[in-house]
Amino acid sequence: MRRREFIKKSAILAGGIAFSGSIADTLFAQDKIPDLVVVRGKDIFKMVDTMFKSLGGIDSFIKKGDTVVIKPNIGWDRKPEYAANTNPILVGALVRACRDAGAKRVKVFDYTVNNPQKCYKNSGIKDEAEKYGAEVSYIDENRFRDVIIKGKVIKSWPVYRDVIEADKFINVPVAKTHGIARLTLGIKNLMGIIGGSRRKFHQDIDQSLVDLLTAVRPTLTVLDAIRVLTNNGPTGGDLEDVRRLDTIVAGRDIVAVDAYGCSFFQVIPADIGYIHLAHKSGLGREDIENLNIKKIEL
Amino acid sequence: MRRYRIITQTIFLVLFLFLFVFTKSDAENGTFADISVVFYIDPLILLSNLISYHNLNILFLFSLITVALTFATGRSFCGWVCPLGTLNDITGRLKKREKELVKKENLKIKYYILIFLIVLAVFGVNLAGFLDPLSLLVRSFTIIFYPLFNLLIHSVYDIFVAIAPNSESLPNIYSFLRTYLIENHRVYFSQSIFIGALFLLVLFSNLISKRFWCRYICPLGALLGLMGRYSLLKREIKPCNDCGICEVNCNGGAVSPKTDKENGSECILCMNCSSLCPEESVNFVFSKKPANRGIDIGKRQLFISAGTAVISYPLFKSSLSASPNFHNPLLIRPPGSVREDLFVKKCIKCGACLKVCITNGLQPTLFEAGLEGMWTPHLVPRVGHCEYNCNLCSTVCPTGAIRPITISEKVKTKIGTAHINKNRCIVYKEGKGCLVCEEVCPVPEKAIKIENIQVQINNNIRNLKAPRVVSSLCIGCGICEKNCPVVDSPAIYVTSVGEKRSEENQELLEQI
Repeated sequence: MRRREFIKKSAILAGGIAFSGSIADTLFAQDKIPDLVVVRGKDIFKMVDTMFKSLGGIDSFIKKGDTVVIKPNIGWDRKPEYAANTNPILVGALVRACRDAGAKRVKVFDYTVNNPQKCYKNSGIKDEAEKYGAEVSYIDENRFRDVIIKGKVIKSWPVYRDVIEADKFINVPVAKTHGIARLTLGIKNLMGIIGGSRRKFHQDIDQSLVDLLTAVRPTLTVLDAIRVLTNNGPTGGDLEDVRRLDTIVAGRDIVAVDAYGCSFFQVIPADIGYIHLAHKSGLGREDIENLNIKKIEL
Repeated sequence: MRRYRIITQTIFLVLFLFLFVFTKSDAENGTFADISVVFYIDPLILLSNLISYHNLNILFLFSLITVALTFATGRSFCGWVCPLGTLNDITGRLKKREKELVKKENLKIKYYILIFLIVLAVFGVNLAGFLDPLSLLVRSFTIIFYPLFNLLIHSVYDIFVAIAPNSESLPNIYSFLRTYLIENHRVYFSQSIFIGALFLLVLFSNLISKRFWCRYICPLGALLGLMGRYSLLKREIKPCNDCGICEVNCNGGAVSPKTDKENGSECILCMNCSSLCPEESVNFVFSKKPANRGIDIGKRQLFISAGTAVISYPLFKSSLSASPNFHNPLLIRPPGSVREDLFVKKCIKCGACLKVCITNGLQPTLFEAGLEGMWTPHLVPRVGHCEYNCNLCSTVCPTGAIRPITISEKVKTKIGTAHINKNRCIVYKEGKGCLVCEEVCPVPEKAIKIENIQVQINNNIRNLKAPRVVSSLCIGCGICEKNCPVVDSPAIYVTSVGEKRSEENQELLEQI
C-alpha cells in the first residue's frame, strides 16, 4: 500500500515536472521498485547514485532535516585494501548523497575492536566521511541505553543512543567470512551499535542477532562487496584472501541483502543460521529467487 | 639571578610536562612527543649503562652537554634544569623555616649510593634507573599522575554528561581529549600505591629539609657534585655581618657560616644567597683560581659502600630469576625486547613504554624479573593486549632494552604463546558456541583454527566448533585472552614460552 502510494505520488510529481532525465526512466521503466539493487562498477559515487535512483530515489529514504546514522564496519585497524572494514569511498559517497538530499546531520561511528583512533584513521573512513560533512565520533560508553528486546535469548541490551534517536539508519557492512557466524554481512554488522559484553552473543550467535534485529531495523542496508574477504575473516590481513568484485548490494530488507551476499561466498542463505532464523521469524526474506532484483552494470 | 633561575626552572618543568603528556599515540605510527629524550642529557644513565653493558645509543652523548655545563658552572643542572629538583623546591616551600639544620655528614650519603651503583654496574647489575631522578620522575608520573589525570577527566565527563545528556559540545570536547590528551579508557597500574608512596615520600621529605632528595639521596646529584668541584663559576664572599640569611635559604645545604668547604660539590646554583644577601656580599664569578673544595667523602666509607656492592652482587645473581632454567611464564616482554639478561641491564625502569602503551597492557613487574628487574615492563593481556599495528613502546625506549622495530617486523615478533584451558573454555564445558578468540586473532593466517568437535552434555552429543592454537602462527599478542568471555581466569591465556628473543624459552622443534 505504502509503496503503491509512493509510486503514484512520484509518478505525479515526475509527470508534473515533466522529467526527461534518468530518474523518470528508472521510475517508469519498471512497474515497481526492486527489492534489491545490485550495482557493479568502478566509480563508487556513480554506483551510489544509481543505487538510490533504482530504489526509488534518495528522497524516498532521506527527508530534509533528517538526522541520519551511517554505520560502516570500522572494527579493525586495517587499511582499506584488506577488506576488513567497509570501503571508505563508499561511506563518503553515502554521506555526500545524504547531505545532498538535505539531511541535517549525518553521524558515522562503529564500536571498534582495535584502538578506535587507529581504526578510524587507518580504515580511511574518518577522513572520507568528514570530507563530505559527516560527524565522525568515537564510541562513548555513556551513550548506550538499555533497550527492551524481549527476544528468545536477549531480553534487553544496551544500544547506542544515536541509533535509537536517528530518523534514518543506513547499515553499511562489508562482506567477510567469520568463524562462528560463517559470514558477516548486514545483520552481523549490527553488533557495532551495541554495548555491554558483546562477546557473549557468540554463545548463541544466530538467535542473539535475530533478537537484536527485532529491535533495530535499518532503513537501508548497503552491502559493500567492492572487495570481499574470503578467508581469515573478519580480521583478514592477507591480500591473497581479498577478492575484488566492485559490487554493492542494497535494499530495504536487510535479510534479503544478506541472502544475496551469500552468493559471493558460494553459500546457500538457508545455511547461514541467523539469515535462516530471521527469515523464519518474518524479519525479511532469504528466498531471493522470488524477489525482484535489479542488476546494473556501470 | 634568583628570578632567572625560577623562570628557567619553570620553563624546563613545563617542557617536561609537555613532553610527558604528549608521549601519546597519534593514531598513525607515532607519538606526538617523546619523553625519553630527557634521558639523553642524563650522564648518570650514560655512565651506568656504558659500564654495565658497554654499549649505548649514540644520542646519549648529548649528556656531555650536561657534563660540560657542570664543569663550567657547577651543579646548575640540579638547581636550574632538573624537573624533580623544581618539584622539590615547590614542595619545600610548603614549610616556613626559621633555621635550616644541615648535618654535613649526611650530605655524603648520596656519594655512597653513587659508588654502590657504579660498582654494581661494573659487575653488570644496573640499578641506576631506580634512583636516577629523571627516571624516578617519568616512572612516578606514569604510574600515579597519568592514571589520575585520566580518571579525573573521564569522571568529570561522566558527571557532566549525566547532568546535560543532550549537550552537543560535551561529546565533541571528550572526543578531542581522547584524541590528543587522554586515553579512551581509564588507566590502571599494578603497584600504583607502592610507587606512589615512594614518590610522595620524596616530595614530603622536603618538609624535613629543603631538597632532601637532592642533598642526601640523588646519585645524579652526586655524580655532578664530583665534577662541580672543578667548576669555573665560583662563589665569592666579601666580609659580612654573619646574619645567616644565606645559610637558611641555601637550597643545597652548601653554605656554612664560617667555612665554605662543601660549596664546590653541594652548591646547586640556586642563587638564593647572592640574591637575598642584605649586604650584597655574595657573588658568583668565573675565575681560574684554585678549585673550590667539595665535600670530603672519606676513604673508609668509600670502601664500605663499594664493599657492600660487591657483597650484594651474588645476591642478585643467585636469585631464581637469574637461573637459565627458570622462565617466568608471566614475564611477557614487549615486542623488540632484547634477551632477558641484557634486558634487565639495559632497562632503566623509566616507564615511558607503560605510558605510551595504548591498551594499558604493559604493567610494571614486581618480582617477576627478580629484584634488579623490578618495575620493568611486562604484558598483562587480561588488562590489555599488544595492539597488532603498534610499536610505540619500542620507539620511546631510551636505552634499547626494547629495540626500535618497524611495524612489519613487530607483527612477526613472537612474544609468547596462547594456550587453551579446556576445563574453562565455554565450548568444552558448556557445550555452547564461542570462538571469540578466533574472531579477534589478528595474524593474517589466523593462529587459532576451528576444529569440529563433539561434546557430551547430559548424555547428548553436540557438534561444536572449538578453537585450537597453532603455536607456530601465534605471536602472543594476547588479544584472545583480553576478549575471552571467561573474564576472571581466562580459558585462553598467553605465557612467555616461544618468545623470539630467547633461545631457551622454546617448546617446539620447528624453527620460527
